[in-house]
Amino acid sequence: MQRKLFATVSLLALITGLSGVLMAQTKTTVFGTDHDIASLGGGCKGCHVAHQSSAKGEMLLWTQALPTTATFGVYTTPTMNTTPTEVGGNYSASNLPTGAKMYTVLCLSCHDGITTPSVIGAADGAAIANPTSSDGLKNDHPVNLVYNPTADAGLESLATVQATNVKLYTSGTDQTMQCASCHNVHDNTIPKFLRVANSNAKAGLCGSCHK
Amino acid sequence: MNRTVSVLPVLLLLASAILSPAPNQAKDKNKKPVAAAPADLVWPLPPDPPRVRYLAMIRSADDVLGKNGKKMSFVERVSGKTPIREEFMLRKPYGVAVDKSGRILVADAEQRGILILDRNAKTVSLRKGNGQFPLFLPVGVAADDDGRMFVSDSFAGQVVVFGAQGTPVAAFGKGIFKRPGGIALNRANGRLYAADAKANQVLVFDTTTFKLVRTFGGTSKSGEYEAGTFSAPTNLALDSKGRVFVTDTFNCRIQVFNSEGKFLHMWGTPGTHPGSFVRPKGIAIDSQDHVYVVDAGFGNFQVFTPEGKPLMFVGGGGDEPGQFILPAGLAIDREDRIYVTEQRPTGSRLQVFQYLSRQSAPPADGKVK
Repeated sequence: MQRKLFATVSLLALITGLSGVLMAQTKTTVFGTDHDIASLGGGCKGCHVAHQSSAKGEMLLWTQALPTTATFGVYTTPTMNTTPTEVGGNYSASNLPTGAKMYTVLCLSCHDGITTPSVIGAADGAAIANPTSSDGLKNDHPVNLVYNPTADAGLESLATVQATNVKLYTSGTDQTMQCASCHNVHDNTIPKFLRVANSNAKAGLCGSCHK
Repeated sequence: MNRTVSVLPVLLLLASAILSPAPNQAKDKNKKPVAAAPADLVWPLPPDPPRVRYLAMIRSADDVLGKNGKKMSFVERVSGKTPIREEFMLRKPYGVAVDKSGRILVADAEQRGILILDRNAKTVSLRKGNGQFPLFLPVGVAADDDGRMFVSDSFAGQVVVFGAQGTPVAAFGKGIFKRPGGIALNRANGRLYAADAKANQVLVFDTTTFKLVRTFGGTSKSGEYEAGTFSAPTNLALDSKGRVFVTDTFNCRIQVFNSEGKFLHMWGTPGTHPGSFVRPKGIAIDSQDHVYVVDAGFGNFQVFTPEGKPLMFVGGGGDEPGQFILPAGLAIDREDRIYVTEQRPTGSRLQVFQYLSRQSAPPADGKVK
């Protein structure tokens, strides 16, 4: 009987402990970080703007023809519940950020210099390669580019990178690098929201991709 | 540190041609609106009467002169300088303003200066700080009638004042600002209003003494959406009555105060329907007190009555004229031309529009208090 009780208690403890672990895994650690917009009075909705499908838009007095149920497209799915395969994507006229593909643009929509500290410089590989740029771009790694170890022998293989905590984002048949490749917006365990600690060691951030 | 690019007659002639459509032409077209040709972009579409016309898109000298054409070589030869394209290139623009003489001022954070497009003097210049008054991250810009230019620096946490001669002569707000953003000048009471996105307040300075006069706003203590409090106020604009319209960015709303900082009213919610916001930023007011707000989430700008009734919107995420990627700053000049800066990752731009019904349209719906 006592044994049974002990087993029950153990089981309960195990379940409690497990759920604790599970909760710790599912609950983000964004709270208390610089990305905790609630500390600014904004809450999660600072980024996660619900589309409020039940809410009707107001009649546009200058545009009578437009139905009041019209909605605007945004750079992401309304809830931002994007999966890695939905995000990423190179930026071109034929691939506009009307879908769920613009992780990097999403970051830049706040990191503009006023709303939040600026990420200086344009956010693509071409811009950083622009030799005429006199200021800026020197501190920022390019983003929104195709990760192509075949073209650049200095890069680790896709499999090697994917085994690290650095994240590549699928865009069509390509693997791309976005802001979120190195940064986890919700987790500041490693300062600057990094996915891998920034060090010169091979196991450090740079060494995850660069040989 | 001021680098003025030498005279560019061809460039500016073309620029002024683009930026100054003959008023008669605009009026005539407004009288009898015909089906919009591709070259004549207007909003809204027929049968509604057009209210806004697309005028120009400016990214660099290329957009005015053509890409690498002979004209460019000619200008380069005439000017004797090659870095014209670079000087004229928008890199990380945010704040935009038009001064008394019609010069377009664009704060460019990456170039650490203010790009000045002067149609009358036919010059393009990049105004930077100096050793005493450096500019690190210029984001907001405003100009007064005395030729002074005020530039907010969100990194240095101060406003730098450029004198009529074009050199920095003063700075203020150091230690008071946390992260100043959009600024606006009230010529009637001699005050400068500055949004501070980090301090969640608007700061009011005297433009003669540069002393802090008052602050208003603050972070909400009781919860979300408390009237009169802010969550990252980024930009502001003043209407003809001196009322202060503040873009309360993370609260997805516009709040209106009188010139003394007393809360009057507000509108807007998070959402994706017309009249709501995702990432509202630049704000400006036209000659009839319509309120324009760009949204970096939608890639558009919406037009409202002073009370917040939505009138129409222009744009949607994209690269075409009249579409926007990461629009940031917004300004409207005395001729009711609308200027929108975009921080596009593939190349920043400045788009110019014209509010059309200046004389003919009825005043904004609702009563202006």
